[in-house]
Amino acid sequence: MANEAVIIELLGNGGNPVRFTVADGTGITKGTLMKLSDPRTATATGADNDPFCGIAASEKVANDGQTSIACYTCGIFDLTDSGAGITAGERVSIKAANTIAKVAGADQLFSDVGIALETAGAGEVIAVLIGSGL
Amino acid sequence: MAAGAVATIIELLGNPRGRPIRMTVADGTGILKGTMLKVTDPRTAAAQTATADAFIGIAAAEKVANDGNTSIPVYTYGIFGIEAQAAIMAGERLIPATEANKVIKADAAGILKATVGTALEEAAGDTEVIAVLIGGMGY
Repeated sequence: MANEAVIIELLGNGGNPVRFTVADGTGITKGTLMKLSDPRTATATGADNDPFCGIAASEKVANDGQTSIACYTCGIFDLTDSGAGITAGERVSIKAANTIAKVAGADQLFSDVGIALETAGAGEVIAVLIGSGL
Repeated sequence: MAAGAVATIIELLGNPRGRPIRMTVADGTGILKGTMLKVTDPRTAAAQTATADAFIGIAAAEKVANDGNTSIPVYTYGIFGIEAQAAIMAGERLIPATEANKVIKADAAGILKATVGTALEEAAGDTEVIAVLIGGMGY
């Protein structure tokens, strides 16, 4: 995987980590953008409009016996634009694995990623405010 | 109609109180504490002046023009008294109004950007101050 998120600033109580179930056989790199599935399970994002649930706070080695992972839900992170560009202040959502795009109308039906704090050209890495509720 | 009064703190939520974040600001800019701020590139705050602005928070301190400071703390989580520009129903999501330091209910376009928050009270019309929950709902 590439384009993992990088912490700029953890907000709240140390990034307000939330623990999700994860499959033991899954390997996840720290900083991976995670999607939510039933029941309260996190996997790596991979497709447009995956419902975002946080950023992997630690590495999960495949088959290490662990069946849960902590995900940051509040902070400012460096994230990678998917290629279409983003304007500062726009709401962003998952576009593909570890990449984001500005929210379109239908995207609002899924939990989004956050608010762009910078303007992005195609593929640029920008600061994104996550979990602010704004 | 005119610009509204600056927002007033009713209750600061989160930890630390009001969950402040630091934003870049132009040294030559003067900003009153309680001003509604918009975000511009790169991670820069300025006073909100139009409904198309993307809200980022409430100025947590005064910024005196040309005082040498180039950043400002911004509250992102709390309940604030903010002036309405038009009628608002309790529970409606809000966006910046056409006038500074005022809010109106969100429309389809406005909700694609950062919104101000959720109205906790009804407003009958222009200049009425209502309690607004900022940073509380939505992901």
